[in-house]
Amino acid sequence: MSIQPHASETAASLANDAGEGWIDTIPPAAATGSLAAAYERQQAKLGRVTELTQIGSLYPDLVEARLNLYAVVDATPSNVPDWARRAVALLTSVLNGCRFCTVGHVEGLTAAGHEELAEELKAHPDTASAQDPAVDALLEYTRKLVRRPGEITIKDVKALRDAGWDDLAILDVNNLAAYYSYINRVASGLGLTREA
Amino acid sequence: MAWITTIKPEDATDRLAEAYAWQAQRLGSPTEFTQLGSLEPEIVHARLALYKASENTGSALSAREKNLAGHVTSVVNRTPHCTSRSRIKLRELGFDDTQLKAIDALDFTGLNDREAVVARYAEKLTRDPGAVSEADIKELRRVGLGDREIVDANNQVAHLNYTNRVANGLGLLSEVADDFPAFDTVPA
Repeated sequence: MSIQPHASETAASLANDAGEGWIDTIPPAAATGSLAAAYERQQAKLGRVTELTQIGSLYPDLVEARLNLYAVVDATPSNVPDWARRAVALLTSVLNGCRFCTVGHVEGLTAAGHEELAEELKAHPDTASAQDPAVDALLEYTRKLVRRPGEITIKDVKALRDAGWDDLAILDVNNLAAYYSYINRVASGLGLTREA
Repeated sequence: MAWITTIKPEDATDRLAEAYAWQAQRLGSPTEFTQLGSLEPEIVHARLALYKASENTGSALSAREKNLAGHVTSVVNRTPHCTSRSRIKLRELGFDDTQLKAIDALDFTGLNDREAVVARYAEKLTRDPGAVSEADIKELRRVGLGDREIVDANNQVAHLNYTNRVANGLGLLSEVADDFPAFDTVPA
Protein backbone atom coordinates (compact mmCIF):
# COMPACT_ATOMS: atom_id res chain seq x y z
CA MET A 1 0.00 0.00 0.00
CA SER A 2 1.12 3.52 -0.49
CA ILE A 3 -0.21 6.66 1.07
CA GLN A 4 2.04 8.71 -1.18
CA PRO A 5 2.49 11.82 0.91
CA HIS A 6 4.61 13.23 -1.84
CA ALA A 7 1.94 12.52 -4.43
CA SER A 8 0.39 15.87 -3.68
CA GLU A 9 2.17 16.86 -6.82
CA THR A 10 -0.22 16.00 -9.57
CA ALA A 11 0.52 16.02 -13.26
CA ALA A 12 -0.28 19.72 -13.40
CA SER A 13 2.54 20.48 -11.03
CA LEU A 14 5.19 18.46 -12.80
CA ALA A 15 5.92 21.36 -15.07
CA ASN A 16 7.04 23.10 -11.93
CA ASP A 17 9.45 20.45 -10.72
CA ALA A 18 12.24 22.99 -10.61
CA GLY A 19 10.38 23.99 -7.47
CA GLU A 20 8.59 27.13 -6.45
CA GLY A 21 9.55 27.18 -2.80
CA TRP A 22 11.14 30.14 -1.07
CA ILE A 23 14.61 28.63 -0.97
CA ASP A 24 17.19 27.20 -3.35
CA THR A 25 16.88 23.57 -4.27
CA ILE A 26 19.02 21.24 -6.36
CA PRO A 27 17.16 19.81 -9.37
CA PRO A 28 17.74 16.17 -10.31
CA ALA A 29 19.89 17.11 -13.30
CA ALA A 30 22.35 18.91 -11.03
CA ALA A 31 22.45 16.38 -8.20
CA THR A 32 25.63 14.46 -7.41
CA GLY A 33 26.83 11.94 -4.84
CA SER A 34 24.44 10.81 -2.13
CA LEU A 35 21.76 13.31 -3.21
CA ALA A 36 21.78 11.83 -6.71
CA ALA A 37 21.52 8.36 -5.19
CA ALA A 38 18.52 9.37 -3.05
CA TYR A 39 16.85 11.02 -6.03
CA GLU A 40 17.44 7.91 -8.12
CA ARG A 41 15.75 5.72 -5.54
CA GLN A 42 12.64 7.88 -5.60
CA GLN A 43 12.77 8.12 -9.38
CA ALA A 44 12.81 4.33 -9.57
CA LYS A 45 9.84 4.04 -7.22
CA LEU A 46 7.63 6.92 -8.35
CA GLY A 47 8.94 7.72 -11.79
CA ARG A 48 9.95 11.21 -10.69
CA VAL A 49 11.58 13.18 -7.91
CA THR A 50 8.98 15.16 -6.01
CA GLU A 51 9.19 18.82 -5.06
CA LEU A 52 8.86 17.86 -1.43
CA THR A 53 11.97 15.72 -1.72
CA GLN A 54 13.88 18.46 -3.50
CA ILE A 55 12.99 21.08 -0.91
CA GLY A 56 15.50 19.45 1.47
CA SER A 57 18.20 19.05 -1.13
CA LEU A 58 20.72 21.41 0.46
CA TYR A 59 21.17 18.53 2.94
CA PRO A 60 21.45 15.19 1.12
CA ASP A 61 21.56 13.23 4.39
CA LEU A 62 18.27 14.81 5.39
CA VAL A 63 16.70 13.90 2.06
CA GLU A 64 17.79 10.31 2.52
CA ALA A 65 16.59 10.13 6.13
CA ARG A 66 13.19 11.58 5.22
CA LEU A 67 12.71 9.17 2.34
CA ASN A 68 13.76 6.29 4.53
CA LEU A 69 11.34 7.30 7.27
CA TYR A 70 8.54 7.68 4.76
CA ALA A 71 9.15 4.15 3.47
CA VAL A 72 9.00 2.80 7.02
CA VAL A 73 5.87 4.78 7.91
CA ASP A 74 4.23 3.49 4.77
CA ALA A 75 5.14 -0.13 5.53
CA THR A 76 4.18 -0.30 9.20
CA PRO A 77 2.63 -3.76 9.62
CA SER A 78 -0.35 -2.82 11.77
CA ASN A 79 -3.92 -3.97 11.28
CA VAL A 80 -5.18 -0.45 10.51
CA PRO A 81 -6.71 -0.74 7.05
CA ASP A 82 -5.04 1.10 4.20
CA TRP A 83 -7.96 3.46 3.62
CA ALA A 84 -8.09 4.40 7.31
CA ARG A 85 -4.37 5.22 7.26
CA ARG A 86 -4.97 7.44 4.23
CA ALA A 87 -7.83 9.13 6.10
CA VAL A 88 -5.53 9.88 9.04
CA ALA A 89 -2.90 11.34 6.70
CA LEU A 90 -5.49 13.52 4.96
CA LEU A 91 -7.10 14.71 8.17
CA THR A 92 -3.70 15.68 9.60
CA SER A 93 -2.84 17.70 6.50
CA VAL A 94 -6.21 19.48 6.46
CA LEU A 95 -5.97 20.36 10.15
CA ASN A 96 -2.45 21.70 9.61
CA GLY A 97 -3.66 23.90 6.77
CA CYS A 98 -1.30 22.25 4.30
CA ARG A 99 -3.07 22.80 0.99
CA PHE A 100 -0.16 21.32 -0.94
CA CYS A 101 -0.32 18.02 0.98
CA THR A 102 -4.12 17.94 1.16
CA VAL A 103 -4.60 17.62 -2.58
CA GLY A 104 -2.48 14.49 -2.82
CA HIS A 105 -4.10 12.87 0.18
CA VAL A 106 -7.59 13.55 -1.19
CA GLU A 107 -6.46 11.75 -4.33
CA GLY A 108 -5.05 8.91 -2.26
CA LEU A 109 -8.20 8.33 -0.24
CA THR A 110 -10.36 8.69 -3.32
CA ALA A 111 -8.24 6.12 -5.12
CA ALA A 112 -8.86 3.77 -2.20
CA GLY A 113 -12.59 4.04 -2.89
CA HIS A 114 -13.56 6.63 -0.28
CA GLU A 115 -14.19 9.77 -2.29
CA GLU A 116 -17.08 10.91 -0.13
CA LEU A 117 -15.04 10.64 3.06
CA ALA A 118 -12.15 12.46 1.39
CA GLU A 119 -14.34 15.40 0.50
CA GLU A 120 -15.97 15.35 3.92
CA LEU A 121 -12.61 15.39 5.73
CA LYS A 122 -11.43 18.25 3.56
CA ALA A 123 -14.57 20.33 4.06
CA HIS A 124 -15.39 19.46 7.68
CA PRO A 125 -12.26 18.11 9.38
CA ASP A 126 -13.66 18.63 12.87
CA THR A 127 -16.79 16.58 12.40
CA ALA A 128 -16.31 14.25 9.43
CA SER A 129 -17.24 10.63 10.14
CA ALA A 130 -16.01 7.49 8.42
CA GLN A 131 -19.30 5.81 9.36
CA ASP A 132 -17.18 3.18 11.10
CA PRO A 133 -16.82 3.50 14.89
CA ALA A 134 -13.33 2.01 15.01
CA VAL A 135 -12.00 4.32 12.31
CA ASP A 136 -13.81 7.28 13.82
CA ALA A 137 -11.84 6.61 17.01
CA LEU A 138 -8.61 6.94 15.00
CA LEU A 139 -9.85 10.21 13.53
CA GLU A 140 -10.78 11.57 16.94
CA TYR A 141 -7.32 10.74 18.34
CA THR A 142 -5.74 12.38 15.29
CA ARG A 143 -7.75 15.58 15.72
CA LYS A 144 -6.59 16.00 19.29
CA LEU A 145 -2.98 15.00 18.66
CA VAL A 146 -2.63 17.39 15.73
CA ARG A 147 -4.46 20.36 17.21
CA ARG A 148 -3.85 20.02 20.95
CA PRO A 149 -0.93 17.68 21.60
CA GLY A 150 -0.60 19.02 25.13
CA GLU A 151 -4.02 17.78 26.09
CA ILE A 152 -3.78 14.11 25.15
CA THR A 153 -4.32 11.82 28.11
CA ILE A 154 -4.37 8.10 28.76
CA LYS A 155 -8.15 8.25 28.22
CA ASP A 156 -7.56 9.09 24.56
CA VAL A 157 -5.44 5.98 24.15
CA LYS A 158 -7.96 3.93 26.11
CA ALA A 159 -10.64 5.09 23.66
CA LEU A 160 -8.57 3.55 20.86
CA ARG A 161 -8.28 0.27 22.76
CA ASP A 162 -12.00 0.29 23.49
CA ALA A 163 -12.59 0.68 19.78
CA GLY A 164 -10.64 -2.53 19.21
CA TRP A 165 -7.18 -1.32 18.27
CA ASP A 166 -4.09 -3.08 19.62
CA ASP A 167 -0.82 -1.46 20.66
CA LEU A 168 0.82 -1.67 17.23
CA ALA A 169 -2.21 0.02 15.68
CA ILE A 170 -2.00 2.77 18.31
CA LEU A 171 1.71 3.16 17.59
CA ASP A 172 0.85 3.36 13.89
CA VAL A 173 -1.86 6.03 14.12
CA ASN A 174 0.27 8.09 16.48
CA ASN A 175 3.22 7.82 14.10
CA LEU A 176 1.12 8.72 11.05
CA ALA A 177 -0.37 11.86 12.57
CA ALA A 178 3.00 12.89 14.03
CA TYR A 179 4.91 12.19 10.80
CA TYR A 180 2.52 14.24 8.67
CA SER A 181 2.63 17.02 11.24
CA TYR A 182 6.36 17.06 10.38
CA ILE A 183 6.02 16.88 6.61
CA ASN A 184 3.17 19.41 6.48
CA ARG A 185 5.47 21.93 8.14
CA VAL A 186 8.34 21.23 5.77
CA ALA A 187 5.99 22.00 2.86
CA SER A 188 4.15 24.97 4.35
CA GLY A 189 7.23 26.41 6.02
CA LEU A 190 9.40 26.53 2.90
CA GLY A 191 6.94 27.70 0.33
CA LEU A 192 5.13 24.69 -1.11
CA THR A 193 1.91 26.49 -0.40
CA ARG A 194 -0.23 26.31 -3.49
CA GLU A 195 -2.83 23.61 -4.07
CA ALA A 196 -0.73 21.10 -5.96
CA MET B 1 5.81 4.81 31.75
CA ALA B 2 4.24 4.74 28.27
CA TRP B 3 0.59 4.01 27.51
CA ILE B 4 1.50 1.24 25.06
CA THR B 5 3.77 -1.76 25.36
CA THR B 6 7.46 -1.05 24.94
CA ILE B 7 10.43 -3.39 24.91
CA LYS B 8 13.15 -2.83 27.49
CA PRO B 9 16.79 -2.79 26.41
CA GLU B 10 17.50 -6.08 28.19
CA ASP B 11 14.68 -7.77 26.28
CA ALA B 12 15.53 -6.40 22.84
CA THR B 13 16.73 -8.70 20.06
CA ASP B 14 17.81 -8.46 16.43
CA ARG B 15 17.05 -5.14 14.70
CA LEU B 16 15.68 -3.52 17.83
CA ALA B 17 18.80 -4.47 19.79
CA GLU B 18 20.90 -2.97 16.98
CA ALA B 19 19.00 0.31 17.13
CA TYR B 20 19.23 0.47 20.90
CA ALA B 21 22.97 -0.25 20.74
CA TRP B 22 23.45 2.51 18.20
CA GLN B 23 22.09 5.15 20.55
CA ALA B 24 23.80 3.55 23.54
CA GLN B 25 27.22 4.05 21.95
CA ARG B 26 27.22 7.65 23.12
CA LEU B 27 24.50 7.76 25.74
CA GLY B 28 25.02 4.41 27.45
CA SER B 29 21.42 3.35 26.87
CA PRO B 30 18.53 4.08 24.50
CA THR B 31 16.31 6.96 25.57
CA GLU B 32 12.77 6.49 26.82
CA PHE B 33 11.65 8.25 23.66
CA THR B 34 13.46 5.70 21.48
CA GLN B 35 11.79 2.86 23.35
CA LEU B 36 8.33 4.25 22.52
CA GLY B 37 8.63 2.88 18.98
CA SER B 38 9.95 -0.51 19.95
CA LEU B 39 6.98 -2.56 18.70
CA GLU B 40 8.23 -1.71 15.20
CA PRO B 41 12.05 -1.76 15.16
CA GLU B 42 12.28 -0.23 11.68
CA ILE B 43 10.51 2.87 12.98
CA VAL B 44 13.11 3.09 15.74
CA HIS B 45 15.94 2.90 13.19
CA ALA B 46 14.36 5.44 10.85
CA ARG B 47 13.69 7.90 13.67
CA LEU B 48 17.28 7.67 14.90
CA ALA B 49 18.62 8.18 11.37
CA LEU B 50 16.45 11.26 10.91
CA TYR B 51 17.51 12.57 14.31
CA LYS B 52 21.17 12.16 13.39
CA ALA B 53 20.71 13.89 10.02
CA SER B 54 18.72 16.70 11.63
CA GLU B 55 21.34 17.39 14.25
CA ASN B 56 24.31 17.20 11.88
CA THR B 57 23.34 19.61 9.12
CA GLY B 58 26.33 21.82 9.81
CA SER B 59 24.59 25.03 8.81
CA ALA B 60 25.66 28.41 10.12
CA LEU B 61 22.66 28.44 12.43
CA SER B 62 24.22 28.67 15.88
CA ALA B 63 23.65 25.96 18.45
CA ARG B 64 21.76 28.52 20.52
CA GLU B 65 19.45 29.37 17.61
CA LYS B 66 18.87 25.78 16.60
CA ASN B 67 18.08 24.55 20.09
CA LEU B 68 15.98 27.63 20.78
CA ALA B 69 13.85 26.78 17.73
CA GLY B 70 13.37 23.26 19.04
CA HIS B 71 12.61 24.37 22.57
CA VAL B 72 10.02 26.95 21.49
CA THR B 73 8.32 24.23 19.45
CA SER B 74 8.11 21.92 22.44
CA VAL B 75 6.83 24.73 24.64
CA VAL B 76 4.05 25.64 22.19
CA ASN B 77 3.10 21.97 21.96
CA ARG B 78 3.15 21.67 25.77
CA THR B 79 5.48 18.71 25.79
CA PRO B 80 6.97 18.26 29.26
CA HIS B 81 9.47 15.54 28.35
CA CYS B 82 10.91 17.32 25.32
CA THR B 83 11.04 20.73 27.02
CA SER B 84 12.88 19.25 29.97
CA ARG B 85 15.56 17.96 27.59
CA SER B 86 15.88 21.13 25.51
CA ARG B 87 15.90 23.34 28.61
CA ILE B 88 19.06 21.56 29.74
CA LYS B 89 20.65 22.28 26.37
CA LEU B 90 19.69 25.96 26.42
CA ARG B 91 21.10 26.29 29.91
CA GLU B 92 24.39 24.73 28.81
CA LEU B 93 24.41 27.11 25.83
CA GLY B 94 24.32 30.12 28.11
CA PHE B 95 20.69 31.10 28.60
CA ASP B 96 20.13 32.08 32.23
CA ASP B 97 17.09 31.26 34.35
CA THR B 98 15.44 34.63 33.73
CA GLN B 99 15.78 34.20 29.99
CA LEU B 100 14.55 30.60 30.15
CA LYS B 101 11.50 31.63 32.15
CA ALA B 102 10.67 34.27 29.55
CA ILE B 103 11.17 31.83 26.65
CA ASP B 104 8.93 29.29 28.38
CA ALA B 105 6.27 32.03 28.46
CA LEU B 106 6.94 32.68 24.75
CA ASP B 107 8.26 36.13 25.57
CA PHE B 108 11.17 36.75 23.18
CA THR B 109 11.82 40.39 24.02
CA GLY B 110 15.00 39.57 25.95
CA LEU B 111 16.63 37.81 22.99
CA ASN B 112 18.81 39.41 20.36
CA ASP B 113 17.14 40.26 17.06
CA ARG B 114 18.27 37.15 15.21
CA GLU B 115 17.32 34.74 17.98
CA ALA B 116 13.95 36.42 18.41
CA VAL B 117 13.18 36.09 14.70
CA VAL B 118 14.07 32.39 14.76
CA ALA B 119 11.92 31.91 17.87
CA ARG B 120 8.95 33.66 16.27
CA TYR B 121 9.27 31.51 13.14
CA ALA B 122 9.26 28.41 15.36
CA GLU B 123 6.17 29.56 17.21
CA LYS B 124 4.24 30.40 14.03
CA LEU B 125 5.24 27.26 12.13
CA THR B 126 4.20 25.16 15.11
CA ARG B 127 0.97 26.93 15.99
CA ASP B 128 -0.37 27.73 12.55
CA PRO B 129 1.71 26.19 9.76
CA GLY B 130 -0.78 27.16 7.08
CA ALA B 131 -0.30 30.83 7.91
CA VAL B 132 3.46 30.90 7.25
CA SER B 133 4.19 33.17 4.32
CA GLU B 134 7.15 34.31 2.28
CA ALA B 135 7.28 37.40 4.50
CA ASP B 136 8.31 35.12 7.38
CA ILE B 137 11.17 33.74 5.30
CA LYS B 138 12.22 37.26 4.31
CA GLU B 139 12.34 38.12 7.97
CA LEU B 140 14.72 35.19 8.55
CA ARG B 141 16.86 36.46 5.69
CA ARG B 142 16.83 39.99 7.09
CA VAL B 143 18.63 38.79 10.21
CA GLY B 144 21.22 36.92 8.19
CA LEU B 145 19.94 33.42 7.63
CA GLY B 146 20.77 31.95 4.24
CA ASP B 147 19.01 29.12 2.46
CA ARG B 148 20.87 26.41 4.36
CA GLU B 149 20.08 27.98 7.72
CA ILE B 150 16.41 28.39 6.77
CA VAL B 151 16.12 24.74 5.75
CA ASP B 152 17.84 23.80 9.01
CA ALA B 153 15.53 25.92 11.16
CA ASN B 154 12.47 24.68 9.32
CA ASN B 155 13.53 21.08 9.78
CA GLN B 156 14.30 21.55 13.44
CA VAL B 157 10.83 22.94 14.13
CA ALA B 158 9.06 20.44 11.88
CA HIS B 159 10.99 17.52 13.36
CA LEU B 160 10.15 18.53 16.92
CA ASN B 161 6.51 18.75 15.88
CA TYR B 162 6.89 15.07 15.03
CA THR B 163 8.68 13.96 18.18
CA ASN B 164 6.50 16.08 20.48
CA ARG B 165 3.45 14.23 19.22
CA VAL B 166 5.10 10.85 19.63
CA ALA B 167 6.01 11.65 23.24
CA ASN B 168 2.74 13.25 24.32
CA GLY B 169 0.57 10.96 22.24
CA LEU B 170 1.95 7.76 23.76
CA GLY B 171 2.32 8.91 27.34
CA LEU B 172 5.95 9.95 27.75
CA LEU B 173 5.21 12.90 30.01
CA SER B 174 8.00 12.59 32.57
CA GLU B 175 10.74 15.19 32.81
CA VAL B 176 14.40 14.19 32.69
CA ALA B 177 16.66 14.97 35.66
CA ASP B 178 18.72 18.16 35.59
CA ASP B 179 21.93 16.17 35.04
CA PHE B 180 20.59 14.29 32.00
CA PRO B 181 23.24 14.36 29.23
CA ALA B 182 20.90 16.00 26.73
CA PHE B 183 23.53 16.48 24.02
CA ASP B 184 24.51 12.82 24.01
CA THR B 185 21.20 11.47 22.74
CA VAL B 186 22.11 11.97 19.08
CA PRO B 187 23.34 8.62 17.73
CA ALA B 188 26.95 8.41 16.60
